Amino acid sequence: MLIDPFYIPDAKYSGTSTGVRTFEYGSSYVNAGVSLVSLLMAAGWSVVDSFPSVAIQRRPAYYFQTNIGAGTPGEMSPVQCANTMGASWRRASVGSLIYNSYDPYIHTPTCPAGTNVMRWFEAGETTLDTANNLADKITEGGVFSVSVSGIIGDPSAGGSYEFTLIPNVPAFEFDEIPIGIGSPVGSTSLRGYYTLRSPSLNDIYLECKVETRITNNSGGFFAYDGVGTPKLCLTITSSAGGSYYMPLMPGSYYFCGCNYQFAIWPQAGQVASRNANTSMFVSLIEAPDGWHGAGGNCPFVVGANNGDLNIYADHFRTQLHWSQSLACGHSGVMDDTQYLKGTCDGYQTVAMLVRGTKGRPTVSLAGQPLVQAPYIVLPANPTAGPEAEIAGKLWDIVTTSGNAEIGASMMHDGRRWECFSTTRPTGDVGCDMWMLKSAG
Amino acid sequence: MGLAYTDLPIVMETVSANPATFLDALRSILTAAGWTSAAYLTGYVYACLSPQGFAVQLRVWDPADSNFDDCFAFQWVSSYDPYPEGLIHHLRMDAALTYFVWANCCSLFIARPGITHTGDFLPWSVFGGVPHAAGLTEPTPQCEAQSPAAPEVTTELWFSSGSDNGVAGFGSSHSQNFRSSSFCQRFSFFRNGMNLGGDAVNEGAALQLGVIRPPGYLNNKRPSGFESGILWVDSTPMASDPLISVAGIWYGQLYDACCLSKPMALEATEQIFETDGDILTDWVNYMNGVGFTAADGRFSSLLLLTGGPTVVENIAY
Repeated sequence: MLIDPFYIPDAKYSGTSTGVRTFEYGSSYVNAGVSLVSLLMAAGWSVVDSFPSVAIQRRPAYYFQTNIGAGTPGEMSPVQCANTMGASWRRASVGSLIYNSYDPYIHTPTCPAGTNVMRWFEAGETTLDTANNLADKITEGGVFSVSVSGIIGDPSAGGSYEFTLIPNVPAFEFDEIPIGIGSPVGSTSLRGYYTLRSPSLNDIYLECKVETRITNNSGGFFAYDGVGTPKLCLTITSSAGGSYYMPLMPGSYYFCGCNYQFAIWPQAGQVASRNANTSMFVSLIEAPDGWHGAGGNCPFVVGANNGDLNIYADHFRTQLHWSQSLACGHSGVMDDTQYLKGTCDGYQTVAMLVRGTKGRPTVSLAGQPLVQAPYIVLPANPTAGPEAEIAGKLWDIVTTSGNAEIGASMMHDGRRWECFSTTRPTGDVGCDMWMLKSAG
Repeated sequence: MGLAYTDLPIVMETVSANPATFLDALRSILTAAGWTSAAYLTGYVYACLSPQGFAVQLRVWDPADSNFDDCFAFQWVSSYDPYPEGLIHHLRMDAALTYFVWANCCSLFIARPGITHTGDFLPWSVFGGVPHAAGLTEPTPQCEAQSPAAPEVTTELWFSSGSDNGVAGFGSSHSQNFRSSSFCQRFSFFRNGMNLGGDAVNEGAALQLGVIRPPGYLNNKRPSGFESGILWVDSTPMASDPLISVAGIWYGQLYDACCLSKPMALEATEQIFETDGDILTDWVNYMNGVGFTAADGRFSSLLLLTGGPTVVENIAY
């Protein structure tokens, strides 16, 4: 006997949807990160952890001036005050602020009115004293707390001092301030993050870490001393285990989220090339009532990370089945595909369940597509194991048997919806996925 | 939409495929299901009416056609003069065999038990009737000429199909149909006086059940998927209303039937209990097959109602 097997066509409403919002990831990844954190909070997720970014720079010890130990200081010359002296004056910079050392036995750190653009720090008796004075001077600025390590590297070659700069407030808000103490030249602080947590759903929750990182070209990260354009990176974890990581590429995005789900997708048309703006979908699918949910809640993430921490062509919005760059599982546990293409295939593929006709949309006599429930099948393990099984419904989503254009709008159930993913009708069943466009 | 129940008698029997007795056995079944009959050539013409008031007629006779040896002919026709005709579907007779027959007030499904088709491509299944029409309806009175209606208003609706490929001598393949597939390749489908049927060469033109299916498992991309069906985590399949469409338009659904998202043996039975209302129904499976092509997966069944819906009290499960 089958107990309550029937398809229920209704959408599953969270009641907490933000509706479709926009955010910009243009020249400022900091602003994008702040916006994304704000949007997740609007969806009901809360910040449960944060960590400030870090910048590490090194400069050879011999660059740091020592004082002469005795003398009567005189005034700075106009040349010194105007910052047109040579490099031997040990310049450092943090953003627009320039730091120079001075010998307190030769000069007083004052300049004629209107000419002093320097932040002066004393040269000490040793180069380490001078480096520490620089650190203290930068710390006085209130943005970063700076510490200095002892000599690192080959002492016979003079060695270097390592400066560690940590912003005084979390997390990545000051990551676009260029730091010029030494090398690497032009680096900034990075790897600050906020971790946002979804409300619990049957004791399971998701977390999203919003972080700034720089990726290298061999599938790894620079730690804190990389040079390059940091990316906004998202790491999704499930409280029962498992994670998925994806960098986000600059672009203009839509966001729609609720207590247990969020989606990010580009405002522009479909993406066909790698390392362009992309999409990400994250959901904690609620186990249905009754017997069918024996496997518990099912986390599901699909993105476009292609394995070398770059972005593969966006496949989320051009089909309604996914076999790569995803993570999912039953009982709250999320196994990822290690971002590899094709590691899960065949019946381990994640797919929406639809009713329609291959090669063409299928509509009513009035020309309207059949609006369908967003049932989804997930494998317990996307890299191995048995066939995918019905996990439940996605939140605030419906599918249709038509083929609308991405970005199209429709009214259904008294609500407005936006088409954000579709299959191409050629060779596959025609169907679209729609996101609740209005909040609530 | 929910399932469309006729709430009228349903008859299911296994009868001999003996040509000497088959016509009378079938007449007995259809009469019990509420159909009326009259003599027609070497057999009978039946009339039936759906709960929505849509009528259709069915002719069954022995055509003695040497192109289709030992076959009876089934032909659904409109109920009004001049009686537009659907395709003729043949059904092989053999005294050594039997047929599974299921009928309600407006539908008939026949098939050789346990068989979808055989290598000699003999026709072993036939079915047709009146589906439940979606949207606005205005049934054409029986035997009256159809009156014009707005395009979205259904005034007539019926279909027929079977494994007969229509080729003299039975050709070199069978026609996909609801016995072997969620699609019918050679079919009649009449709506408002127009025949939308034919011999479909692709999925988009076929008569199809709106079975639940995953994109990406089609077109020979994922032929091995879902061998056990599309199941919930507790191994329960998903049941759904048996929507039907032709050429990309949903027209309605079959009466007293539902789709199940797992493959079942032919004539296998199943019970469904709905806790909302304590409703119990009994079913028998008519379909075991693939999609439009063999590469389209095998994860659906077509269940025909055999008992209920009845409200059950104190059921133990």
